[in-house]
Amino acid sequence: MDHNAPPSIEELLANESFLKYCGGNQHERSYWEEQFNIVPGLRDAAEKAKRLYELLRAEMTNASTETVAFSNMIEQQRVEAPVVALPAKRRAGYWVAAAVGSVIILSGLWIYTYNGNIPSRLVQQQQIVHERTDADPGRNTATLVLADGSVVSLDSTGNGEITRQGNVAIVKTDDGNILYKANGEPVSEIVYNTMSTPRGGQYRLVLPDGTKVWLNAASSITYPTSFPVDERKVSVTGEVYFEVAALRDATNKSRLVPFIVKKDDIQVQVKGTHFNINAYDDEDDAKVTLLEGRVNVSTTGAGLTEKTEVALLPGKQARCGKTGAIAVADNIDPDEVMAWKNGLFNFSNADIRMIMRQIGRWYNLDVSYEGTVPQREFSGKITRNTQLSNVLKILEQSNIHFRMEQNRIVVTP
Amino acid sequence: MSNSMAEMPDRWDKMRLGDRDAMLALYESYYNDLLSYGVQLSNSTDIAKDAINDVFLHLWEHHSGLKPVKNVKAYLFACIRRKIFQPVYANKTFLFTEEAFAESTEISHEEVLIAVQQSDAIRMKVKAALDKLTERQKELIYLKYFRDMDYREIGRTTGMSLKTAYNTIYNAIKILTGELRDTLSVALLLLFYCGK
Repeated sequence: MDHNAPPSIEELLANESFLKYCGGNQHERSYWEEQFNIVPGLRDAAEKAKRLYELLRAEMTNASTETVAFSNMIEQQRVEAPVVALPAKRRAGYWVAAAVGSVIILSGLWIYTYNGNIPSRLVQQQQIVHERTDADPGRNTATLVLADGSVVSLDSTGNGEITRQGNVAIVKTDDGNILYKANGEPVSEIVYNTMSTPRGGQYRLVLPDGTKVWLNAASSITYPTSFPVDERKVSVTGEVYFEVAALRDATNKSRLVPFIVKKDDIQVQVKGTHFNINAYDDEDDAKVTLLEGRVNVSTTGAGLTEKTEVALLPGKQARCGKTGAIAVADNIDPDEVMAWKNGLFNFSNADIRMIMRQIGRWYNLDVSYEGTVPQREFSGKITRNTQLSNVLKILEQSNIHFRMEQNRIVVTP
Repeated sequence: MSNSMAEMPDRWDKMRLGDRDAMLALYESYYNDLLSYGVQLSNSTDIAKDAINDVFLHLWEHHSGLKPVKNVKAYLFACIRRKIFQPVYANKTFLFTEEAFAESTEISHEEVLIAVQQSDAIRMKVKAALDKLTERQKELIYLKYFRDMDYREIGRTTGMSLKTAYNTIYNAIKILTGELRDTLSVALLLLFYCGK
């Protein structure tokens, strides 16, 4: 950017970093706020650009899609049930918003660049010999298992009504969201659907009560296509982020209808809130991180004689060990926990195995190790929407090396 | 839109009687007008969307206590305005001055009618500006700003090179900026919409 003259509106709106700022990305935000103080006239240009951006988004928003989502949400309220609070909306298209290869340095190990190009000096140093050299990043793909056992592949399905189960239509919206549309008649029988993502996939879903769900790679959620009036219960595997819609009980208005998430022996009970559960079987602890509201996390693990339960406050993380013990961590970085949903890998003081587990899931690759695995800790961010080779290039700067085999990355000293 | 404005008080009355479809029809009919107005006030599509849902949930929850209204649109505009200027939304806005929220939240009926007109005029300008674009430019604007795609994804979707995608977006925004120059000044909008 020329620091003498402010950029034009078209320069700003064609710039990936500025658009991430408009989308609410915290890191880009601090960068741009800083620039506003440095570059004369930039703040004014940015305000106009942001305004144009929002006016265009508003104009392109489809009223019918929004109406279906809204109808869906109130359907669960039943006619008289008042609503306590709406889930604050997160940017729906967030996880496709990541810029091409923007990489951020935190600890001096990784390289920072805004325009997304890996500096040529890095590329020149890059002389690894291997047959398969790259892998595409994950994408929006999932399968839906219906109550009758039939399987719908969601990337090959067109938009619109996918299928109908009793009184409930399953609809794929223009922006690739799945939602359940009830026709307002009572549902006689509760049936279950399961949405699952493969390695290298992610997907979004709106549950019949209006709760929004984001599935990370290699994850799943099982839920009824219509919730009973007194309880909402789902089960998950892998990593899932929830924005739970607050619902009042139709008969007892002082009571909020609980929303319960189960993963094996772990149970998270919530009312209306935003939280992330990371419960991959290959991770040591299952982690429940609360962003807003309040949740209770309980376990009934094999090592326990009775149920263990903790109430979690926003910004805290419950770590459930394999024995069922729960530890609460309060020094967590919510941006790091939620990075996947916002289209980033974000590590601070992470060991290489943890980093490679995430990479393996996202690029659909197995990971193995040769020789001594470095014990160092790594910090940094990189967009998930980039080729594997770009990620590996950056890690190689930290003196870790890789060899690619068919469906496998081998980490070498 | 096939719905005539004369039907709206009718739908309003049906909503008051608990007709869910009438309520949803109102929601859908006014959605884009309200969204545009909400964005003009808050400079955020997310906030505007939340405000619309909050307003309609509130109306639906209290439908039996609602009074008849003659101008449904103006009524909804006033609701959106009040909702957005509530303090709970204030700390979520972007690029918006503190002073804006210190303003009084109540304005007269005449001022609401003016706000409806001005907001609709701005929405029409945005539509007209979009109509100046080629189909290709429109498609890319949609992919870029609505679907939040980066240039690489746009390239994959459309078969364009990254450079062509970038240039197409850049030129389209240049056209839109030229068409909407007067509309993009935040200060001007504050003057109109804060009842000053």
